[in-house]
Amino acid sequence: MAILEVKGINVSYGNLQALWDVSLNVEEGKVVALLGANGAGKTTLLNAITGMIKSTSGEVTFKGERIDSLPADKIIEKGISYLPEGGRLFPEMTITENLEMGAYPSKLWGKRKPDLERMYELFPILGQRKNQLARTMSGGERQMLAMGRALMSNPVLCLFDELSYGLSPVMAQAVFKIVKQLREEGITVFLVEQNVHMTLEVADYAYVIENGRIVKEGEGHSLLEDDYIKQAYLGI
Amino acid sequence: MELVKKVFWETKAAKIQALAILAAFVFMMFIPSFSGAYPPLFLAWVMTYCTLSISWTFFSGKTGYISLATAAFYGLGMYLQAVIGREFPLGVTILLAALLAFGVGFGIGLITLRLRGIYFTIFTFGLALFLNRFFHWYEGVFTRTKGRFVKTFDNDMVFYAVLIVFIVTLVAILLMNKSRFGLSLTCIGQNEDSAQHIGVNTTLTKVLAFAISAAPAGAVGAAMISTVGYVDPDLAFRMLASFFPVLMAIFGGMFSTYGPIVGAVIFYVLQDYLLRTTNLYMVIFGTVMVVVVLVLPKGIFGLIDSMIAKKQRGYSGEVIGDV
Repeated sequence: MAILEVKGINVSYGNLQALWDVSLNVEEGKVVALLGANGAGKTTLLNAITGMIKSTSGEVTFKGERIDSLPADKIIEKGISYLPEGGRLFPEMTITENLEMGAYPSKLWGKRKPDLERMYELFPILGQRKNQLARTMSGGERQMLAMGRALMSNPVLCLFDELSYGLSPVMAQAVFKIVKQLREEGITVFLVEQNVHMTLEVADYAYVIENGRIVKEGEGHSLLEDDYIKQAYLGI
Repeated sequence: MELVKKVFWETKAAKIQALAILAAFVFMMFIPSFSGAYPPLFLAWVMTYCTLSISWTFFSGKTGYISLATAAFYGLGMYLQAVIGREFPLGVTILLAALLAFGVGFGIGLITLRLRGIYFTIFTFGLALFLNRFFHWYEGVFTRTKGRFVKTFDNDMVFYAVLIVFIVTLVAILLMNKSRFGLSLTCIGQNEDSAQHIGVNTTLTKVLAFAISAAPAGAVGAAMISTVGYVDPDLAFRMLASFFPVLMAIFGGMFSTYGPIVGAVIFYVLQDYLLRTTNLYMVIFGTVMVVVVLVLPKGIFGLIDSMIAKKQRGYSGEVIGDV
């Protein structure tokens, strides 16, 4: 069953239309990816799903319920967690404080302590540096912290924007390993990526977006064999 | 309840904080019984400045939205005292002044806090100027006077009133700092988009915090004007009253609630001394201010804090968060 359904979304910035009639489904318990180059409209779509910007037309349903007219904070409360590009941490706050703030929705705030311990298990590096300020961390560590903060809200669905961007190959591998781990725990992941090869190895299903339109979709592994993908994105 | 325990009980530092506030409060309660007539009035002014600067810092220090509306709320408190002060006991007027400031703050917040950055600051600056002109116009056209007489209260009574307002404000801010609400304000200051991503209703949070930070200014305005006995628009809505909290917070250090208090105390004492002894008050004051901003970017409290850190750890470390 599709946990997230996007139907015919159109988004414009003034006169410039960024998304054209975009439709896609994210199946529950799967890792689904959205691939595309810079400026293709990937982040715009995530912003439209999470209520950060309003779409001009189209529907977004989460667990069968329309969410496209809800404000951002109500959408997060429903169990959708959004990790923006670059993590966007709170630089002058400590690791612990950053994580705790991930449990901001009122239902979760009271039980943030046990969740915190869970994050330290999942990301041991964070547990070792609880009182370090976020701005003093390296790029990879920041991405770990950003993932931890996103997971603190006990999400059913995670939206990850450019998880591997700016990371070393080793760090990117580590980050994708955690994505697989989340799938094993039954958490649905919607990945937005430029790193086509690594993403398609992990993703169960993927969509390709170009100039604001979905141009291709298919199973992760089958897309790896696709001639068009090979030519345009993998350079083979 | 859990919050009270965390801020005033759980750690050694928390217990010391609770004891220090309690001891200071009890000691201050006895001051009028042994001091002369002047010290309570002097201290009431000091605490007024402290209240203005900690409540300003609660909103602007955390969120980075620099408000210059303090004079507006402070002045509204004064005018409320002038208008209804004769009918009610001092405590009731002070409470009503806090409510009035909260209400106006909420309304202004709703209009302005969708604005980001400098636009917000300019608007709040304009608010105090507008109220000044508005009251001039109203008094000139309808009451045909320049100012109003205000019912005066005994200095000791005003002292107790301001003491209570200050302590209540301080305790409330210390508690809010560690609450979900206070932390979300810090998040807004650090990265407003991220605050939205973690589910903070940023507009409502900002508006509410702005209104909360306005209330103590209204309260001390209502209390202090009754030691003056007279109010007019230029006295009530002085732009300096909007700049003082900002300067005091920078002077003392904004990263902790105690920084603005240290700043306000030194600021007021220095001002009082310079005004009595020299007519170069503004010259000396301006120089001190420039030096502090250049040499001590984290304020006087920041200097004290890094000196303690240096002694304990052998190096001057980063200051992290609140006490």
